[in-house]
Amino acid sequence: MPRNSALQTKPSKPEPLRVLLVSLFHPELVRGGAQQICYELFEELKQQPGVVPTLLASIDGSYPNLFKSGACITGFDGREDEFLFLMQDYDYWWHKTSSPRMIDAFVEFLHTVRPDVVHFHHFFTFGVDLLTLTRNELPNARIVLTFHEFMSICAADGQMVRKTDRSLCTRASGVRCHQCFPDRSPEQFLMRRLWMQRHLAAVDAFTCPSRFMLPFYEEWGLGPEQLYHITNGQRRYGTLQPPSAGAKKRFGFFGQLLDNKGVHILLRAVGLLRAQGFTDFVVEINGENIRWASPAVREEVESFLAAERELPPKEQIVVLNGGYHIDDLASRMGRIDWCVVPSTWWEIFGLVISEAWMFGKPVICSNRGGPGERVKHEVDGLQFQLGDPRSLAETIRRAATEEGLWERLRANLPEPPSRPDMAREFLALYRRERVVSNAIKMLPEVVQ
Amino acid sequence: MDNLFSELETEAAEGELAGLPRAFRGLAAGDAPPRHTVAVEYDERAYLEAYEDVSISLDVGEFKTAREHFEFHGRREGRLTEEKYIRALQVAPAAKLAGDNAAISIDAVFCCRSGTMLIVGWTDDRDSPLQSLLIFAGGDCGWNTTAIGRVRRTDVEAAVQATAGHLFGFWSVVKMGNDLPANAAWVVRGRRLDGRFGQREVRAQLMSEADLRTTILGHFAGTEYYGNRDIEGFLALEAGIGTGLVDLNRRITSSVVSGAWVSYYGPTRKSYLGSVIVCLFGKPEFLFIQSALFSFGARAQEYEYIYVSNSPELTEALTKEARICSRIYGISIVLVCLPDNAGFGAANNAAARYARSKRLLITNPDVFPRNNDWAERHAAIVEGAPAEQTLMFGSPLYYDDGSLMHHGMYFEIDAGISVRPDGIYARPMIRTEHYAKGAPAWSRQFVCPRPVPAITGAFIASDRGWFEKLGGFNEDFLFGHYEDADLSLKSLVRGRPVWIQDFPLWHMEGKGSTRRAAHEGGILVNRWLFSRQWGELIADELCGSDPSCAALHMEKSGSSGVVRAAE
Repeated sequence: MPRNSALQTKPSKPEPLRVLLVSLFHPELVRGGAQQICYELFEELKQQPGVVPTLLASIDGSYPNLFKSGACITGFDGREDEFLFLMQDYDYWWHKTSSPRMIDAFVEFLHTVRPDVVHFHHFFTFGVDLLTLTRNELPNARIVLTFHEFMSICAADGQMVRKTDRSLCTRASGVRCHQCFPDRSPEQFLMRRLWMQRHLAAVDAFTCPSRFMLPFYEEWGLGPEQLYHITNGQRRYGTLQPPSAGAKKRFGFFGQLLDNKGVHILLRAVGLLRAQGFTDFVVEINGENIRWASPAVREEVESFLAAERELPPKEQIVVLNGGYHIDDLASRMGRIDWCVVPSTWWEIFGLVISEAWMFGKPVICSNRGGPGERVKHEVDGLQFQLGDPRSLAETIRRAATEEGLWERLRANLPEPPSRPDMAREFLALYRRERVVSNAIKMLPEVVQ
Repeated sequence: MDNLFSELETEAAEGELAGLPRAFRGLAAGDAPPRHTVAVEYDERAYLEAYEDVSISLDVGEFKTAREHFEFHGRREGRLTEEKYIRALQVAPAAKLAGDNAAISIDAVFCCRSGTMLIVGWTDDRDSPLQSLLIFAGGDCGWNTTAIGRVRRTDVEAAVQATAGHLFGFWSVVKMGNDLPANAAWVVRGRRLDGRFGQREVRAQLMSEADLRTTILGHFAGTEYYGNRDIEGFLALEAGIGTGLVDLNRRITSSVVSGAWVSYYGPTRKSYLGSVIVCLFGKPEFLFIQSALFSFGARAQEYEYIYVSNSPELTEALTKEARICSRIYGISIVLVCLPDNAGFGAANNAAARYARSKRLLITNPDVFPRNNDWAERHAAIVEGAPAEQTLMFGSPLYYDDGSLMHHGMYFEIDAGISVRPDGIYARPMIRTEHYAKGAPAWSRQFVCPRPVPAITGAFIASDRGWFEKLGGFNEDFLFGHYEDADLSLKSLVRGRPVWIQDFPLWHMEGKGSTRRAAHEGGILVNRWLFSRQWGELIADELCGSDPSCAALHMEKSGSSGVVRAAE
């Protein structure tokens, strides 16, 4: 027996799975769904045996004092496994950095962390070409990309809402995109598509939090065998609240006061009901950032709220509570019976729906996109026609007056997707045998 | 070659467009260039003839030679600029001096240190046409030129209440001596056919040669006429402005190319399958877009990528992008940055000199592979097709909408209308046309390999030795356009027509660079130059989409043909 037999016979400890999570912003610096989910996953992976996660979160110029001189990547607030990517020279059209130093720093970071899995929770603020770079630097790593909207497909912030009439867009094309951006030619959108697809070809697996997204990406050119649906899971920070007494006529909006979130649709519905003489209900608006709304929507919302404040208290229906933190959710949710999600875009997932369910609040939502997929009409919530205040007004009136409706829907509320479930699905994906895929279909081949 | 279209005028006036071929016979390359401009220098014969007092001084022994008189008195007195001396030089019409009563207005005079000058002005010469311009830059330095272009001036027409028809405006490009005293007052004198002249004192604005070229071409692009703009512009160029512009451009190009700054990025291989050469202008993003798209697919890393920039202001951005691209895509990049715009042909020629392979793939920045296997496909074509079919070949290009943009070029002859007070004439101009423009992608008849009269510079794959043997692109052409057709015809007249091979590419035409007014002027100059160079051959053998040229048909049947050389 060789002298080092003891060493040989000792069972070798399995190598941990090193996962690098690349996050659009850090949720403690810039709030948003994508970063929140990425961080939830990061926290959950830390609980998993044999998994070593590292977080690399981007940050823009909104925190200039976090930009350390000469640095491209730094630590974050003394946490040993969280890092900040200090974005510089970012091209918002092509989604790439023009800084060679950022590229070098990212490469060095990759080789330092040596991840087995690089999971991008967005390429925005990093650069879509970092996908290709990661593939070339770590040829054996598994690369996963989670889509949080349609930024690969749609140049209009990935919203797939037509700039011409604010209608939902169902597919990108040179001419259609040119109609949204008249100063850019159709050719530029083909180049954008080729550019995006070239880099997405480096990815092993794509995930979407809602099923309705999958056909969009498939039609756009991604291989169906690479597309996965993994729902967004969250830690449970709310518990079922007891029902209020009497009629369920308190409605709440939670979210940014932006066009796509549809707060103005809700206010229009209130206006219609008031005009009909139906005023026995209240609406609480929880949100902020009206400054980022379009001038027209901002004017509409602010005018409505100003007029509302002028009314005698007994005649007021709408109350603006302002922004909130997760810690405030319990009290804010405690003041409502229904959670209204009137988004006018596809609303990829709707974290607020999960939050409403945590607190036992049925949801009234638009009938398209993530909400339309998640909320079962007449089963666990109510849907109305997206963007239609008349449809929403009818739904609110019914919700406030129909006896037993709230109780019936509440009884069917699903469990909100959990964080461990989400992590389990991602870990299974990480560990799935890597298939070198040539599935990206660049545009149709020339007919030969 | 006094008049570009002198022969045609007669025939066209008779309505015989069939006479077009003969119209080009005066244009064939190789003719001695006409002297449109002569220097007004000291000439003993003229000096003695003009100045009787000099003869007397010699007779009485005051001076031994007339030159001695000039050095002692004449230079200081400005005798070389005297009208009678000019006449004695015989650069002006032999008509009686009628005095300074022929009004002329000079709007602007621009010059560069090497002595090229742009003069823009107008004159009411309805009674006797402007014949020449004399420019005196100081006491003993002058030039006389007949290189004058005439243009419409609606402002003058309104001011003199003239009926439409007469071209009051004029402009000229004159090559004078080096380092002229630009800070001194100059005199521009316009002479009429009847001998009268008018003159104006002017101050020349000094600028670089490149800026002057831009100014000249920008002016040219904005000129107005009564007839067809292109053909009327041709007349100005043929009057001598064209050769002046080409000379100026050559000097600029030579200077720019000699100042190339070259840097290398990424891995270096022992050998490369080919050198993808891309000329950038105004838009740096095409470096990273092309690097991304061309580096995709098998064997793409076996090619090198040479980017040559005609935009010096982009140099820093391009160096960053080249560094990033070499790192992300693992490709070899050569960046050739020029200190000014050398034009498409000269820049590509310069880039080709840095190539480290035997195959050149000259590619526009807005051209991208249609399929991911482009690198393998190119190698397979070069290795598998008969050598004469791959010496120089182009490819089917596709619009962004998927339809064929074109599949090779051919030539047509336009009859441009020239409107003059004495009549209306049809004059010939060569036009490049494209096979299958807008055809559906499935139009198989257009994508099968075949010889064509010409291929576009958007993509030219060439054997490097053949490219060099042809002398590369003709650097007479300004900025861009027509040098690709010129290169194709140079290959054709050497018995090797260019081919189209099954090598599909996207072409986002016109998106890869910025175009300014000067470029429009340059295109017109190039069209004139191309017509002048190749008009006769095209008229005889290459006109139309199915030209009679034997070499094209011989190639189709597998043997080589002979084309009458135009050079």
